[in-house]
Parts: sequence; C-alpha cells; structure tokens
Amino acid sequence: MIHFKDVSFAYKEGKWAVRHINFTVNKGEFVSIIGGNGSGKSTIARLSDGLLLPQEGSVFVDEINSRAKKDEFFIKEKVGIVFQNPDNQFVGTTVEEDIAFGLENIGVERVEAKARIEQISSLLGIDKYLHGSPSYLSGGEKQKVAIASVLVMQPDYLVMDEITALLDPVSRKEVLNLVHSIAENKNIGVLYITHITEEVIKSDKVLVLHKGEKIKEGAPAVILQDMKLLRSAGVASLPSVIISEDLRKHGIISASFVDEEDLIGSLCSN
Amino acid sequence: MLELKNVFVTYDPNTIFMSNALVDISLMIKKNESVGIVGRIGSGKSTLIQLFNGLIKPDNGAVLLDNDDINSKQIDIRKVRKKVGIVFQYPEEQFFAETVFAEVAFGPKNMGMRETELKDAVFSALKDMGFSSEKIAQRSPFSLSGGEKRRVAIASIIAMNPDILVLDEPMAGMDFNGKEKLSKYIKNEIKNGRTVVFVTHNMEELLEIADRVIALDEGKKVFDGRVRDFFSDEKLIEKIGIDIPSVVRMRNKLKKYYSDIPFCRTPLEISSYLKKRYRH
Repeated sequence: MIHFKDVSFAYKEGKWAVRHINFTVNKGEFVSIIGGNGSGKSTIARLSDGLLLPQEGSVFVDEINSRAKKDEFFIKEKVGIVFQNPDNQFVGTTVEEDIAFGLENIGVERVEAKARIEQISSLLGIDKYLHGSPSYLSGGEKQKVAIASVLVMQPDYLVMDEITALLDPVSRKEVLNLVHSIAENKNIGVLYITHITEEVIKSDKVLVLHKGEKIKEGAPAVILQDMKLLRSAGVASLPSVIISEDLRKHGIISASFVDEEDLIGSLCSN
Repeated sequence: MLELKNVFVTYDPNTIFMSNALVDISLMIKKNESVGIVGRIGSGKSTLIQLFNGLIKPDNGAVLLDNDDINSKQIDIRKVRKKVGIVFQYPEEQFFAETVFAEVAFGPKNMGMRETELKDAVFSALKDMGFSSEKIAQRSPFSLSGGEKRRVAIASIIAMNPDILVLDEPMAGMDFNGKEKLSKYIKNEIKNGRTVVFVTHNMEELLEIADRVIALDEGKKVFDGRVRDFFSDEKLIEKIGIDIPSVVRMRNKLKKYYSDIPFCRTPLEISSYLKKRYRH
C-alpha cells in the first residue's frame, strides 16, 4: 500500500505546494488524481516514490517510510514513475537498451533481463521496435517504451504523471486502456494523475486536488456528477453530465448520467 | 484575403533527406472566417501557417495576400507581417521585456507605430484578451499565471491589429479555466470581425471556435469545408487519427430517435434542443 499520512510539502519555505494530504493506494487498485494547473498533482507524484520528501507528515510504501535513508532503493523498486514527456526519459540508442537501463543498474542477469524485456514489450505491443532507435517512434509509442522501462523492474505500484498530455486523442485512449489492463493483470496499484476528466471514469476512486489540498475523494460516478466541485477545481465536466444536469433541472430526466450510452438510452426509451 | 495557389514545400531538396512538407496546396481564407487546421503531428500544419506571412517560401506556387504575391521583390514583407500576425506554440517562452506593457508594445513599435497611438493599441489589445484593469501593464510578464501569460502573448500580436490572426495550438498546456477564458476571447475577436486561423489537436476546441476546417495528411489537403461536414466524414476522421468529440457522437446517436436534431457544438446546445422537444 502507498499511504500518504497528513503530508505537506513546500518547495519554498512558507509556500505549501501540497497541504495535509491523506490517501491510500492498494495493490491492484486504480486511483486517479484530478486537478488544474498548479493544484499540486505532480508534487504528489514525486512524493510517492521518495523523489521528494515531505516536510510534514509521512509517505509509506508497504509500511516503509520514504524518509528512511537505508530503504531508499526499496521504495524506488516498489514504485515506478512515468512522466509527461517521454523524450526526457530516454537514455539508450535502441529501444531495447533503453528498456534494459534500469535492469542493468540493479544488476539483473542478462538472460533474465532479456526475458523480462521480451515479455513486457510484447504485452505493450512494442516488440517490433526493440532494435530501432527510440527517436523515430511516435509520441504514443515512446510513452509505451517509457512504461515498459518501468514495468520490467516489476514494481508493485505505478505512478503516472499526466502521461497522455502530449499524445493525440487516439493514442491517449490506447495508452490509458493499456495501463488499466496491466494494473488488473499484474495486480499493480496505480496512481494516475491527470487533468482530463474523461480519463478518470474507470478508476476505483478519484481524488480532487485544488491549490494543494484534497477537496474531495470518492467513486468516479459521484465525483463526476458534481459539476460545482469540478468547476471550483478548474476541471471540465463531462458533456454527458452537463446535458443530464440541465435536463434534470427541467424535470425531463430524473437522474444524472456519467456514461453517454446510459444518457442516450434514457432519452430514447420513452 | 489570403490565397495559396498550388503550393509545394520541400525540405532538404536534392539530398537523401528530401521530404515533401506540403504537396500542391491551394486554399483561400476570406475576411471574417474562423478556420481550424487539423492533422497528425508532422502532417504539415506548422509549415502551412509559416507560409502565410512569408517565414517560409514555397518551392513552387504562390502565396497571395489581397491579390499580391507576398514573396515578390516589390512587396514590403513587414507590411505583410503586420496584416498576418502569427502566434506560435508556447509564445510566452519568448517573453523578454520587464513589463507587460513593453512586451505588448514591442511589435507595433517595431512596425513604426507612433508613441501617441502605441498606448491605445497596447491597452486595447490587453482589453481584448480580458485584462480590463490597466494595472497589469506595469507587472512583469514573468510574474503572471500560465493562462495570463498566454493571453499577454496573444495581445502582443493583436496590438498590431492584424487582418488575420494565426494561432498555432493556442490552448496547448492550459487547464480548463485557462482554456475556457481564452476560447471566449478568441470567439470575441471573430465576432468583432477578425479573421482567425488556428492549428489544433483538440476537437472540442475546433467544434467550438471554427466554422471551417482544413485537414492535412502527409502534406496534402484532404478536407476543406464546414465543421459539421468534417465530423460526418467518419472514414476520413479515422484515417487522420482524430477522435470524434463526445458532443458530436451523442448528437449523432440521438439523431436516430430525434430526426430533426440540428448539428450541435456544445452540450448545452443538445440539452436546449431536447428541452424544446419535451415542451411540446
């Protein structure tokens, strides 16, 4: 479990980037954090694997405090992070070398490394690129390579910091679906950070962040129907919810719908 | 009026790296239009807009502004750039001035605007981009929020009062609040008679702001027409890797049951239609 216990962090003294944050991510659980620019989302990503250490409160990964200097590597092995821009994360001249980098660093044997790389890259559908250069890949493919480099380390938790922000809409959906299916199959806990409302629909729970504070936590169906809450957090509401709320106010339908199909169904049945 | 006639642009001609950035593009942008340019990364969108004010010259074909070839020797390119103002991606990264006023005044000053007019031009451009208080002018542009910076950068082009305002991914990297504001001000510019051409990956943005779409694929123009016709061409949309916006998708599904539902650009247009329907 990743456990944030009353965590506060400031880059500059007296200016809290995140304040009194509490939440947990269990193995196999998909937790999303949504918020506008400057809400503290990326700070939470960096706190979750010890890249940043909190000034107040504690971050625990499987009960190990991220401040414990001797367990630094334990936490880095348990928690894999993927960032927004895959170009900033490439180190190798071929895709394979790139994915192997982390494994070599922790001294995984060649045969074992090769097996892991083959398995993960075929899972992500990037095995055909292994011997090519990462610089010729499209944005979506690059991001899959970045995810593969983290997955070969066999983490228990994945932290995804706006990983689809620079992708086109089609690869955006593809990458998100991939993360969902990996999390499920490998029983990995995911902390998925985004500002795109649509992306949190299939999460187990959603945290809404605003100016460094968690203003709400709940099931996606509940959070996404709260247009007022989302607006105050600087996040867009789903078109399906905007339409249903407007119709509900006028007594045309009785409930609000997150799912487009459900809305259409209710409008077309009577 | 801006016109491209059979334009070809080739990068690295006569080398093994030669690639065709644009192939035989003809198009016309008329006064008061709002045009969205779409296509995958590398489809030629950015090359296309750089032709509009002579930053790139065509290898073949011509670019005409009000019927003059902008690349002919008789044309003063500065006058072209005053008429066609381009705002590039992440324009705020190029801020350099100490105050917002100096930042916005830089362009028109260089274009030879007199001091007396300069102040009005700067404040009117800032007002256009939603800064009603004049206090903002004395602040450092670097002290602003991301959304404010973007709007100041656009104001610095508007201050030259271009006939055509060209924006390359104006909303890139902005959150919902920032986008909502900027979209409002861009729509105001269109309402007030400015011709606006913008490059975008965001289909909601296209739907909300543009009347017309030009789609590029591998350097070729593959669509030029009304937004509503663009979104009904499903084959083309799939081919160029575009996702149909949720509003269009829902409207199309509703059309099977509500055959008279018009084309809708926003969720509230859909609910307004339904409300009217249920009232009867």
